[in-house]
Amino acid sequence: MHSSGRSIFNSAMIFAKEELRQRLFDGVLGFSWLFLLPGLQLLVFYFVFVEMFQQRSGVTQNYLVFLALGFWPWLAFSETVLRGTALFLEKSAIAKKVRFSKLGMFFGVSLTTFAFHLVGFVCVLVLFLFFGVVDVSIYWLLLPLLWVLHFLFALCIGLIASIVNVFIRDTTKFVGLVMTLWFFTTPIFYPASALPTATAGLQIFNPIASVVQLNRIIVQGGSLAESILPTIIVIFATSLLAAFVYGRTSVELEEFS
Amino acid sequence: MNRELLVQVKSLSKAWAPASSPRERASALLRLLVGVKLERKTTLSDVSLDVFRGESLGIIGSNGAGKSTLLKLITGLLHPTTGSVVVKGKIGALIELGAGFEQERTGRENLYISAALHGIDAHALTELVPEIVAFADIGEYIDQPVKHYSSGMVVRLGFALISALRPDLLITDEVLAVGDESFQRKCIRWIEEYLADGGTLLLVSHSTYHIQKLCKHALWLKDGKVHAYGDVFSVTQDYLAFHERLGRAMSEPAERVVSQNEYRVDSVRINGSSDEKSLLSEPMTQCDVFVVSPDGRPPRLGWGILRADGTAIYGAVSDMHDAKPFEYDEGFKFVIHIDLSSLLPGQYTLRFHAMDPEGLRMYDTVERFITLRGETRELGLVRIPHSWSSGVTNV
Repeated sequence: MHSSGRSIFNSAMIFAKEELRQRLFDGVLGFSWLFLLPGLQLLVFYFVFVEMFQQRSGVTQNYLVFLALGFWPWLAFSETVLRGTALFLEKSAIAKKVRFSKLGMFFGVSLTTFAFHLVGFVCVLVLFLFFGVVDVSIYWLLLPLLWVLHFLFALCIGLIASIVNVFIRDTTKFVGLVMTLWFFTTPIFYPASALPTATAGLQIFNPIASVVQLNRIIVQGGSLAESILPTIIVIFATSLLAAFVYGRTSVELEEFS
Repeated sequence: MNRELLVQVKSLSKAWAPASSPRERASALLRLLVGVKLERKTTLSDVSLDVFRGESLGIIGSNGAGKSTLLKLITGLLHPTTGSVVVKGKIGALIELGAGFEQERTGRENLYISAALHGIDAHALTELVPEIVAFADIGEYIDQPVKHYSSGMVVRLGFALISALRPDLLITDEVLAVGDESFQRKCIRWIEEYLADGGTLLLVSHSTYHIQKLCKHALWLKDGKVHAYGDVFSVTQDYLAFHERLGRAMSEPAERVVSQNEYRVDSVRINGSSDEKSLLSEPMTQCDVFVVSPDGRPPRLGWGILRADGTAIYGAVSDMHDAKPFEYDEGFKFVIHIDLSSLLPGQYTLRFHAMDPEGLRMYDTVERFITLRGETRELGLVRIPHSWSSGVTNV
């Protein structure tokens, strides 16, 4: 009923704008948060991990750069999933009064959430370039493709969680816990080499670990230890699963939300 | 003349899956994922209707009859379980007293969000905002978060927005039940102008007065099914009579226990018909009442008319007018000519009592249900003769 491309696009635009407005213009500092937040976060990381704890975890490259290249992709993924999990329920009141594409709404809000951190990532890269701690290379052209795959994965995980949350309201809490576990088992603060061999082998099925690693290889240099084919298969399978779950439940969401 | 079909509803049904407990919801998810059908409870069953451009259809029914569900299905907020809905043109809907406003946003901000969801861009809406704000008449609250609004203010703003969007099809659900008198008048005036300009209306209301005033047709939903569909006066009068009967302690006549040795009503014919229920389109009515007399003496007859809820309106006995019955093979026949033109359209009960020749005791009672038809928006039970003195032409 709401599946036409145009209605999906319109809903996506409307809710993306609304999400952006909530994120940027409701606070006193407004639009400047888009640039302030990543800069301040990086300062916090620098102070805590480099100055306070002199943390390096066996990292031979610039640790701050290493950390930023892992943390921003994670932040984008984690916030997109957590925001998405609550979305269908959160928008159920308006969905009972006005007709719009729920899929479009979900896409628009998720894209805005993800893009917010992508902009932060770009700002951080610009800062690193400015201070001369990284160098631009031809491989940077692969970054957009990597982040598109990254967004697709976050979108699909969020969509599945959001649908399940309509039926099982404990999902938000459960997803929060899973995200914490996922965060610490993904090589963000430490290199993949620091993981025990048994656990390290499983990382090929963790797309976020691959995304983090690829971001580091593209920006800081290095070579791939394993094939990224399993990662692509996991992202593709997650997309199929999300499409399946949505297809089976989409007409019921209005009843159960 | 070719009329444009704006809304076509065919064999529409909606059944809800039980989802009251967390366990039921979790079970429903599993069933959906493995492709097992959910057990459902039907709330709307086999509804079909056509609404042409320029028509106005009122939807009435008791609470839980399925009115809001029908509107949501037509609006596209719900998916039908079976059947289909086809709507051509732009819909403006106020469902369940709201236009889907975000509580934390101001009224003005919500106008832009809602307008966008209705397909109006920000530039076009900016031109309409002064008109909307003036119509809603909520003063400085327009720049306050909607969470601070009263329910009446939410409806004011919602209706003002929908009216400014000039939809092809206006759908309102109990919008006239909220808001003060002046806003109700403003809404009604706007809807009348909208209809006069060729607009199409679907109106849900518990007020049959509003339905009769604004709609040409009516649909009565009862237990999720179409109970009556047609001319607004006919449907609303039946609906009112139904509720009057509900209020009556005994909606059907008590079981007659009449001895063969007592005076009893043998049969009643209303305008020549022996049916239990009669539909009268003319106020002049002839009642032929056949009474059996056990001793051959001419009995007396009492008759009365009651509203459907049992309220007595009028009654008389034959001896008051010294009326004598006609004799026939098995007894006596009374002929009563009743002028019902004083009564307003609705459902009534005619009651006849067989009495002894002395007129002291009632032996038997027979009731017949009559429905008076007529197009009027007069209120009450009887028509009181009156006249108006008109003064200035413009108020």
